Amino acid sequence: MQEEKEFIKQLLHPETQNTAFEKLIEDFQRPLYAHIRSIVLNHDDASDVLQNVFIKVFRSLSKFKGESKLFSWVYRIATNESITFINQKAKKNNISNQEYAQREIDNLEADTYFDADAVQLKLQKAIVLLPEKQQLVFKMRYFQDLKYEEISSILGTTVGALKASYHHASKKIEEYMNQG
Amino acid sequence: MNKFSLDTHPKIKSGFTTPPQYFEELPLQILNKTTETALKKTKVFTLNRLLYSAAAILVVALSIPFIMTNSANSLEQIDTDSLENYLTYQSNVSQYDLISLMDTKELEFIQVDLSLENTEVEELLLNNPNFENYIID
Repeated sequence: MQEEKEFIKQLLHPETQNTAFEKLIEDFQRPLYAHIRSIVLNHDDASDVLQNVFIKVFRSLSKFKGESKLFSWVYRIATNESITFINQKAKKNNISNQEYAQREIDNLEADTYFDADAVQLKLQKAIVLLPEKQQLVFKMRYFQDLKYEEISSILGTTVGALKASYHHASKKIEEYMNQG
Repeated sequence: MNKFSLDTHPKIKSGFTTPPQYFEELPLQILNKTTETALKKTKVFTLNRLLYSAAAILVVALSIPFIMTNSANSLEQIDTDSLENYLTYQSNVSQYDLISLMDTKELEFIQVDLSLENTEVEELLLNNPNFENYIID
């Protein structure tokens, strides 16, 4: 906690800001990429969103009051940016978010940066059929191994509600995976 | 065949990959963008300040003649009714004084030709007793 406070001070101080921000990118780029990619699915889109997220974080540093953890704050920005991106894409194509995600899943097999076997692809197809909130919770818990408390601080949902969401999502996924 | 269960099945990876060297190159790309943004921000701020200053000077410069004209108008353009009232009730200037201040052209300008018949003049005098005062003057 003390370390984080010190790091935040470095991020806010003009003399140490650039070095500290570089460290923030190094620390967060891989987990954030995985998080964003799991939402937007396509590598190019994920890369664009990820860069926007870091730029937004950099611009908003002065507004960060340290009321939440840096981790939660950055993840929250990444989640919101990814969802906004999907909403805009779906709106542009005049389709629902669900239809947009379905279309992206159909394109996954041809994606150069998707290296998966039949079970992995089937799991992705099962996830996209879930309601948006359940998708988000499942991906954060299953693929990124985030604790419920961490997911709760990012999404602002109670741990109990998150556990229920994950449980429902798991049941639906298992049902889908067991279909021929 | 065993039923699929997320609890018992070995962890399934997402299958998402990235181009080679992606995470090695990404920090520099982002840092370049943040530097660009910071520079743009500074430039925009300077431009704004210049624009605001120029706009303020322009507004002041343009309003000077307007203010001057307005203040002159307030002195020079007193409305006709006020002037007439002042001359009639407040000053000692008689109509002869006024006439003596005018040249022939001005007098011709205010002269009104009335082609009235005698009966009409008589009727007018009967209905407006105040005319007697003007005649006496």
